[in-house]
Amino acid sequence: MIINHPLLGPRDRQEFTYLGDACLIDRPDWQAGNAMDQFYEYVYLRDDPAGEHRELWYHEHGDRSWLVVTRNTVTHEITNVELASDVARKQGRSK
Amino acid sequence: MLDLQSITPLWGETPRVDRFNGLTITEVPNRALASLALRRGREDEGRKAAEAMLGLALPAVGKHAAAGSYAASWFAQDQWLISAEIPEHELMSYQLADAVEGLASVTEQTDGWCRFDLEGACRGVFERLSGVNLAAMEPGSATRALLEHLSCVIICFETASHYAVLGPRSYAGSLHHALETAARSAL
Amino acid sequence: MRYSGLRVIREALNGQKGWKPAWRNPEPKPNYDIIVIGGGGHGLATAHYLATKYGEKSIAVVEKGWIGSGNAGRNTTIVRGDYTLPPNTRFYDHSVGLWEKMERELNFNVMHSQRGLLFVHHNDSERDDHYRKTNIMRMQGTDGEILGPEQVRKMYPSMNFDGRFPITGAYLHRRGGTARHDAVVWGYARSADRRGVDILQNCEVMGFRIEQGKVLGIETTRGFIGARKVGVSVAGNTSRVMDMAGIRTPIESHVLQAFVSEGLKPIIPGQVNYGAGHFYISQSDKGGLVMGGDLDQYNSCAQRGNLPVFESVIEAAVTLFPMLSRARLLRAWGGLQDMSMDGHAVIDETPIKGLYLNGGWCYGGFKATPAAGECFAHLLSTEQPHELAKPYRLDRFRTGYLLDEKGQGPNPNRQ
Repeated sequence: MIINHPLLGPRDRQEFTYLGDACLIDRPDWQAGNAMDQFYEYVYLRDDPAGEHRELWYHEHGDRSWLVVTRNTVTHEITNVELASDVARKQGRSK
Repeated sequence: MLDLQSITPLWGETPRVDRFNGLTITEVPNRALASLALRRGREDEGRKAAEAMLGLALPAVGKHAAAGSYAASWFAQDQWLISAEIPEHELMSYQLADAVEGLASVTEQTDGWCRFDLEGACRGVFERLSGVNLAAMEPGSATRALLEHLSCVIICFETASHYAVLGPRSYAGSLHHALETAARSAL
Repeated sequence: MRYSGLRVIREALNGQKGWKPAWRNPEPKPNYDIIVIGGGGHGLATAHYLATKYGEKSIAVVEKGWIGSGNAGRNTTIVRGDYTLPPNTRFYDHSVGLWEKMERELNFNVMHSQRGLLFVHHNDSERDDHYRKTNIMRMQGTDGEILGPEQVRKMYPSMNFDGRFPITGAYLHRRGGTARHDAVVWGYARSADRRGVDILQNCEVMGFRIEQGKVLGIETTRGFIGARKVGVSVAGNTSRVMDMAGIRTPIESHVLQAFVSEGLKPIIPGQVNYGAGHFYISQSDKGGLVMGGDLDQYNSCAQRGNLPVFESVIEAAVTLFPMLSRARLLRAWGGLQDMSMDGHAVIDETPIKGLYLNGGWCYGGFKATPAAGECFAHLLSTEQPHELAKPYRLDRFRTGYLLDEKGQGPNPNRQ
């Protein structure tokens, strides 16, 4: 599997470590009224689709950046790769 | 007062040199190393201050620049690995930290890495050890990649014939063994 | 029809004309009391226990392909009970006990062979960890003992003791071993069928009919089939099937690769696990070496894996048994794992009345086959959890009673 890093170009899968669904970017507000429920769903429940999946990969043996990769879990075809920092900022997260 | 002599990452009193059929692998100790990371919001000022002290332009993605006594390899976004030969540069990280105070973070890296320079028929060695796209590396480029399961920095001085490989110092023996084995197999 | 040595002889003299199909191929009835979705080891074991121990009379097993074509047909055949957390030890120890009685109970040869499971270690801290583990196992009534390097060498003289990571000893779990994966599916299918269970193959579930929070039946490629209770037992595809009921689960689907070599004369007497990398090997009765290692570690429904893990498994094989470097690999494939958030299963009711789930088995489903069948049957029939299944509640992730045997946190790909 080859991941086309936005800055570094195509890189072998072995340079990366997988985390999971990119929904992990949206950490709930711990002070929300229903924080308990939100955190239960955030930490433990997953969509786990057979098809397009947005997921977080860590370029551990490269530039150590985090990426949001859009990949089909049935064919393993990757259709999009973005820097996670760009995605998070677009979603209004981070400073 | 004791006169302490430093040893190389391979525990030698002198740097190791291995010759193969058309390739030389040389252990390169005695480099001051520091990582430089620009701070958010002060990137432009930090870059200017660092470049003024180092006397070179901090290179773009995947590049390596050298001028005078200093060299810089692109390490990550807004991060570089700075190096210099040791004799006058033992305190390089402190000088750099002073120069960029408040604008960037500097981490002392000297002796955290080991370095092996490969000169000669290098291609076969890298093909056996790494998935990095060697053909795409022009002189003056640097990349971080896996070499035989080890996280390394590869700097290209001359395409196909002169590279430096930096790896974690505690893996010096493993890295050297991997390079040696690949060289023997390839040449 | 009873299988026996006498029958083999009788049929040999009769031109083999007396053998009957081991299970029927019936048309779906309009409805059943209980439908089990999934014709794998677990689903068919569930049907067997429903029809025997729990006396249920109206049961169907619905399978999208042919029975045993999912993970039951893809696993590496290991049956073991070497766990440490008490709920796991109780459950898996019971399961091993059921395996020991299975052939007599089913009148079917499943080739269960308790040839011993060996786990080698390479340094002091691994050895200490194995001492701790086997002490815990013995305190809980199952078997586990530490061997020194010379004892290991006597059992496996062809192992490489002086490689990059020298072998300093091992733990041995004598009750562990292997079984023929297809046979357990067929054995349970035959038993369930002769007691009236309808096994409906080529019958894929496309949706659930749910009204006012209660399940009424399933929509399938062979039409709608009504049911009072439905049990989902499709580990590997749990997320997709539960999604049809609008339920999200603490499960990620991951691929686990497995490999088989050409048939060789007996050279690996037991089941061996490597301590310096994730690798395990045993030899099937056909002579092929059955090997496996790590997950590929990213979500996948492809039932095939990638080269890096393939390479590392073969690397480990040749490191541990250098003699294997000349053997040829015959097959490489992938199975689909229900990797759960704490590495252990869910055998529980769901928020939908009449809908029950048996899933999240990670890579430990095969050894659990009989016990999971018994527990799921108990749940489906009595609507109460079996004593052994009480810790495997779905809501344990909310209440905090996780079974973190490996202590890896909510990371399915590291369980």
